[in-house]
Order: sequence, then structure tokens, then C-alpha cells
Amino acid sequence: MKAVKILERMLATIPIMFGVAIIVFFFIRLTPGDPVDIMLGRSAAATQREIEQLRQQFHLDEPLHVQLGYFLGDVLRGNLGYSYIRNKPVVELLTERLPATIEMTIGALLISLIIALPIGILSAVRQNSLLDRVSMAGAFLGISMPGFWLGIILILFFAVRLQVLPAQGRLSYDVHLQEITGMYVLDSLLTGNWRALEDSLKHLLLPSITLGAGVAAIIARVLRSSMLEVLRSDYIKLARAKGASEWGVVMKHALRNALIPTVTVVGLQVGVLLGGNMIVETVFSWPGLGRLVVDAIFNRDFPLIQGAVMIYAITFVLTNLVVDILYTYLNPKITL
Amino acid sequence: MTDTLLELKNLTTVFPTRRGLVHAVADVSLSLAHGELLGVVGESGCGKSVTMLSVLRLISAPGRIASGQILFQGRDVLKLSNREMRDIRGRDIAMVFQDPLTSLNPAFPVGEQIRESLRIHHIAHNHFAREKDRVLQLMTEVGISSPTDRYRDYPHQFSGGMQQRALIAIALACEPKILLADEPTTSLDVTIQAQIMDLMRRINDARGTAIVLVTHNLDLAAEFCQRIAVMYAGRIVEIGATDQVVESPQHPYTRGLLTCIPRIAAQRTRIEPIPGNVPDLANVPRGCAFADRCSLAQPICQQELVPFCEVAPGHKVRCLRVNDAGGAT
Repeated sequence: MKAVKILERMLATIPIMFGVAIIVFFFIRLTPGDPVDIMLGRSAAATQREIEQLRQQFHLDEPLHVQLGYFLGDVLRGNLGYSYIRNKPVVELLTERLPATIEMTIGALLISLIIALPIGILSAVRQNSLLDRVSMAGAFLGISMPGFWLGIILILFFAVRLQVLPAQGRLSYDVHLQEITGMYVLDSLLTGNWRALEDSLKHLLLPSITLGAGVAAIIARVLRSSMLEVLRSDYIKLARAKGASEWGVVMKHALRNALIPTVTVVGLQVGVLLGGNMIVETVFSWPGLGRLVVDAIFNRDFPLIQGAVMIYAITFVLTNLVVDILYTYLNPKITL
Repeated sequence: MTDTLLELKNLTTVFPTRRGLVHAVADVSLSLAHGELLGVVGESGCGKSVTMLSVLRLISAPGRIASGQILFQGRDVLKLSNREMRDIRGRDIAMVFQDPLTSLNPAFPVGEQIRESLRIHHIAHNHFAREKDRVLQLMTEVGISSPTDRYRDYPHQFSGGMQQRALIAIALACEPKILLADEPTTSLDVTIQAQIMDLMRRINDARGTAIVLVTHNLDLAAEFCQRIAVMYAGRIVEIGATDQVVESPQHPYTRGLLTCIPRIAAQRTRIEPIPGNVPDLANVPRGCAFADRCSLAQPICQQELVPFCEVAPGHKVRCLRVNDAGGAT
């Protein structure tokens, strides 16, 4: 029953994706700049004939609605076009870069949860204690620090001064790894390559902290305030009156209910993480989707931008689907 | 009294607020015998619920029990460790709260919430099947029909009356010696109210559970309880056997409460409201807190703390004008 509902919800994302595709298509074409100019460079060598040829090849000479028709038809066939600049199919470029970005996003999400869950719970249970004040001040800092700044500071301290963690990339040059999924931590686990596991984790740590810090701060604050509210409720009083231990009251009765608003925020923050990737990937020279997109935007690489934005949108929609499913487990009043 | 199960001696519970220290419970002394039905009556904010929460040491910070003793089977509850206190909660003294919907945890099935009480106190030696059997038996006992089907239902799938029954099942799970029922029927309609009171009476009969019924409804208490304590502004103003308190009320406040109850049989008389308002608990006068609203009050009433006066065996009143008051009715 539940599986059917989940499948229904997944099918319902298809029209959403179509909407996203259409919006992205038009927005990109609204931006100034001609891709053909950039492709040919500003050299005067290109003749009018060559320019016309390229325009025809990419259907840029046709009216917008015809271009849209080509684009949507291609999307349906799983073909996201051909990158003007990199001379490679967009799908190939995306699948090459996506694992690195997913890996960093998961890393950042895990780090932010590891930091935020205990802090959120403890600062609510010990409201107004020193711990509460210090961690909420810390959370304020976490929200305020821009990612590029935090990234550079972390590199300066851990990579340059202490020299304990690498400053850039995903793997050291002398470490070899057989790629399966493209997510290096997972691949080293799958192939039992412990050296690569340690090395890839080390490379992952600083970018994940940089990306996760702001999200951790927000999750901690939301969890704290919903815990505070829940801890005042009657059913917490009843749990205590039953003789439940403080641990049982907090971790079972309170946390379960306080997680409901928190999960919503975590779901929305995944969008923030995806956006933050672009900056953090640049700071740490992380070969992920973010840097690819930034380059694509500067180069007016329409197909690549379209493809990447579609990937972001799918990720975001799927994340929210996961959030909705989690909801039904946390809150029995909600069904899919 | 050797039969005393629970005894409060000069209990005072305070809450610091911005306006000053609120004495929610002031110098309350009460005793409860095995199997007794005691009513604690008073209007909202008079300290009756706080008294009950104090017994279980569930006053939430910054509130605290400032002084006094709470003796349960001769042991002072206030001197117990948190661990020992938790063993008493739910197992020896259980509580039924006022609002059943908000008192049940929305995230867990009702059956599981009943089972938790058994699990906490290792009643069925943490044996799942035995615990579940006991839960189903409890659900039947409190009148939840087809318990097997309802075990996995969530609180929002229960009606108000059924939720209250579930709360009572939770309280009864460990067969406590005392049931503190804090306005158990206030949020229910009258027919359900009668069923719940009936259920509590049967529990008292069958198991000898002593019940403290906290209510603002003097009529309900009179019908159900053997003894009644009337509270006003954190203090007990009158206590005695139900007949004594209802038939010959001595305190002007008790008398005021009784004239507030509409009666069908009586001649058409106007209901007499008690004039004035409850005093600000952060600023209770030194003397009788009711003096401001009392038609018999004299200057002396406001000046000094009024001691209890025993007007009949077991019937005690805090009023300086007891004798005059008696004559006035």
C-alpha cells in the first residue's frame, strides 16, 4: 500500500521536471551573450558561413518554440544535448561529475547532523546553561560565516600550518583506486582499499565541514526550539509521571516529536547544500558538478546548464519526497 | 492514624515570577488512608493541581517545593533520590491528567503507551507477549472495546472518552496504591463523565486503590468522595467528611461554592455568585485570603494567619468567624 503511494508520488515528479525544463530553457535564453561567439572565440578568422553552419547545427537559427520542441524531445529520449565548449555529451559530463558532488553533499549533511543533533537536544534539555549559550553563539557564528571564507581559513590552518589534511582534490596523486560508483569513499570500501579510504576521507573532511557548518547551525537551532516546545507538553509530563528515566523521556518521547519540524528544515537545507557546492568546490578544487556549472554559465554552454539545473531540480524534488516519506513515520496523523 | 498511606505536612510549593514569589501551595496538610476517596476542590489556580504534581515531585523548574514533608508509607518522598522517586512514580502513585488528547504522545500507538508503564517498572519481566496480554486485559478493564484491534491505533484515532480511558489504563497498569486524578472528566461531556467516574469507583472497589479526585466541581466530589478538602489561594480552608462539608459548610467560601450549584429540585432561586476575584498569588494577604470577598470579614481577618479550628471530629476550618458564620445561616 505504502509502496504504491510512493511510486505514485515518484511518477508525479515527472510533470514537475517538465516544468523545470521549460523554465530553465527560457531563462537561459534570456541571458545576454551568444554561445556561437564564445565557441568560435573572438577571432576574426571565423567567416559568416562558419557562424551560420554552427547556428544550424545547434538549431540556434530557429524560433524559440521550435528550439524548445527539440530540447523537450531530446530530454524525453534521455539526451540532454551536447556541450558546445567541452565537445562531449552533457549526460556524460554530468555522470562524470555528479558522484563527486553527491559525495560532498552527503559528507556535509552527515557532518551537520553529527554536530547539530546532540547540540540541539542538549541545549534544549539544559536551557540557559553555559552549554546552551555557547552552542547557540556558535550556531550564530556558523550561520554568519560565508563558505568561501571558512574554507580558506580551514585550509590555512589544517593544510598549510598543521599540514594534517589536504587542501584540495579528492585523492592524493600516489593513491590509486578502481572507480565503480565514482564516489571514492564508497568505492574504496567496495574494493577493500583501506589506503584509499583513509585518503579520500581526509580529502572529504574539510570541504564537508565548510559546506555543512551553516546547515548544522540552522538544524541545531530548529531542533533546540522544537525540543523546548515539546518538553513543555503534557505528554512529557505523563511520561515522567509513569516513572520514565530522563533519557527515555528526552530521547523517546520528546525527540520523536521534535524531529517533525526538524526534518522539514533538513530537507530544505539539502537545496542550500547543492547551491553551496559551487563555491566550496571552487575553493577546494573539487571536481564536482558545481564547478562544471559555473564554467558552463560563463561560457553560455546552454545544453550543459540546462542539464545541470535539471539534475539539481531532480535531487531537490527527490529529497522532498524522502522528507514526505519520513514524515509518515514520524507523525502518524500524516499519510502520503 | 496507622492506616495513613500518604500524608502531606505543611507543604509549600513556590514559583518565582517577575511579579514576585508565587505561593501556589501554601502550608497544605492532608492525609490519605488506604482505599480512601478524597476530593480536593477549588477554582482554577487555587493550587490543587500543583499539590498533586508536588506529590510526584513533577514541579517543573523554576518552581520548587519550598518546605514541608510528603510522607508516603512513612517515607519522606522529598528526601528520595531521583532513581527512588522514579520507582514510585507510576508504580505506587499514578496520575491521570486533565486533558487526555494532549497527555497522550501523538507519535506512539496507544497500546504501546500503556505497555511502556509495564516496561518501565518491569512488571512482566520485560516479556513482550506477557506485557501485551496485560495491556489488552487493562484495555478491556477500562472499557475500551475490541482492544486487539485498537492496540496499534494512535491517540488521534480515539475519541475523547476513549483517550481518557486509555490514560486511566496507563495509570492502572502497575496497580498503584494511589491514583491522583486531576480533573479527569473536565474535558468530557456529561454522559462520558458519568462513565469515567463509575469506572474509577469500580477500580476503588475492586482493588482498594486510594483515589484523590481533584476537581472544581464540588457536586461531583460530594457524590464520589468520602472526604473533601476545599482549597482557596493555595491553602486548604476547610476539610472534613463529605457530609460535614456539604451539609454544614463552615467556611464562607465553601458555602459560596455550594450556593453556586444550580439545583433542579429547589425553588427557583438565583444562583449567587461569589463577589470579587481570586487574589493575586504573588501577593496574598497575610491573613485570610478570602477576606476581600467575604461578607463576614472583619479587620482582624486580614491581619493574622488564620489557624485551623476543629468544629467537629475531623472537620476543620480556617476561619476566625466560624461561630458567627454558623449562626448566620
